[in-house]
Amino acid sequence: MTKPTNTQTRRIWHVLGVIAEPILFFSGFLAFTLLMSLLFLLPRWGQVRIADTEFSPVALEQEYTRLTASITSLTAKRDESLQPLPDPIYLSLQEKKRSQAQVIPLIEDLRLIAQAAVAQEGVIVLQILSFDASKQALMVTGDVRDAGFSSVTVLAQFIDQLKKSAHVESLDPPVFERAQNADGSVHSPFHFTIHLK
Amino acid sequence: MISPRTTAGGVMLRIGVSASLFVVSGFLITKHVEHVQQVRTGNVPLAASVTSLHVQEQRLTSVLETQDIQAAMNDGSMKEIIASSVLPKEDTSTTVIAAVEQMRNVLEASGDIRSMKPITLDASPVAIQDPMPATRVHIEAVVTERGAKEFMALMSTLGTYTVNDVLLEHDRKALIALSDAGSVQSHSAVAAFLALPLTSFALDAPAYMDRLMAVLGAERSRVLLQSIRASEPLASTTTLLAGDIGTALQKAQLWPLPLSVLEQATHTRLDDKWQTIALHVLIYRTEQ
Repeated sequence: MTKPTNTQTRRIWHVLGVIAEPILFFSGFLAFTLLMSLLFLLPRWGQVRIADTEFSPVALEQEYTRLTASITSLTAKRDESLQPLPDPIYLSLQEKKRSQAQVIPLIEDLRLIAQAAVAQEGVIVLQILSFDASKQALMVTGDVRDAGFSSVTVLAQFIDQLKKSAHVESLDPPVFERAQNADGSVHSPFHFTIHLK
Repeated sequence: MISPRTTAGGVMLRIGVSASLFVVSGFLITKHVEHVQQVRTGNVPLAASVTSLHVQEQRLTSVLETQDIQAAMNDGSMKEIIASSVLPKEDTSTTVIAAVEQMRNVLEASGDIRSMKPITLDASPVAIQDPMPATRVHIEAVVTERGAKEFMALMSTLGTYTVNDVLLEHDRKALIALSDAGSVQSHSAVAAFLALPLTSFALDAPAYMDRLMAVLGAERSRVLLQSIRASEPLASTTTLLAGDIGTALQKAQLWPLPLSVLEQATHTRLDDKWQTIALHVLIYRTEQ
């Protein structure tokens, strides 16, 4: 490869000298235009009009925060206004009453399940139902009678069905035992606690 | 005439400055792209959220205004009733005793009560964690299964006055959420439903439910309203108030009853028909 001659070098420099100035003007103009656009045009372009008000991106975020706080406060006020007496003690007592009232359908469930557990009526006898409101618990004492040697099975099925009730949170299971009466017949006495939902 | 050396330096300088300006332009273009992306990914969804939040804010404001007007129209009466009958200053255990007596009369007429022990009062202080002074009442009776159910229903009814009082919190929230999705009228309808005295509701519960369903939209509200109608304590309270006991209580002007909370309830089976029901109830008042 041959080295460029002095004349060729001069030509290159001449060409560069001719185009350097327009390139400089072009790059200057481009940078200036982009800078002006960034400073004055883009912020306007990013603005959003909501309900006749213009919001810049920053103002939009501030408006979002303000609205969220306002809605939380208005919702609390609305909920309070729906209470006949917005007194915290009154409301907590009413809440306590409502949770206690769940014992009514639970007792109903208990009797229905006891009746449905075996075809023969009166096999599962519920002797004592004792509701302790402070513990939200129902203590059940009873006996499985006239079920022969399957009395424990009947009791287990009864407990299983009871656990499925919508009003039962948990159940402390009874002792599954088979006892014998003086006449030789078999029965399964039980005692268990149901914790209400 | 410029020397070739000076010309070369000038050309190099111009080209250098141009290159720097192109780099600056590139940086500025990147900033433009970032801004556009931010507007697209951040502002557009945010603007949509702000628009819906604006609507929600306006709606809640008008709901509160409507409720304020309604409250101003019947202000005082409900609070007065609650202050005088539901949560009175003085001990009103005699009112509860009178209500139990009314119940006994009704149950005797239907053959659902065999005997009843004298009702006893215990004014000794109740547990420290209790928020107000209370009197403990002991009730014991021999009743049928139906009689026991009525006693339990009466206990859960004590101190309730409006539908709001017997509505479970999750049902109440679901109802309000449903009205949030509807018109301002649906809010007013839900507010009126919650403030409805239980005695009025018990008289014609299906009609009140149908009216509310019509405002909220049958398709959206049917399942919820049916579940509310069947929920406790609303169901047993409505049955009690719509029956003979409710009529007797209202006739004797014993409704609404003082706010009382069940402390203990024991059902003891005596035979196939009868059982003993023993209830310990706390009757609250605001002053010692």
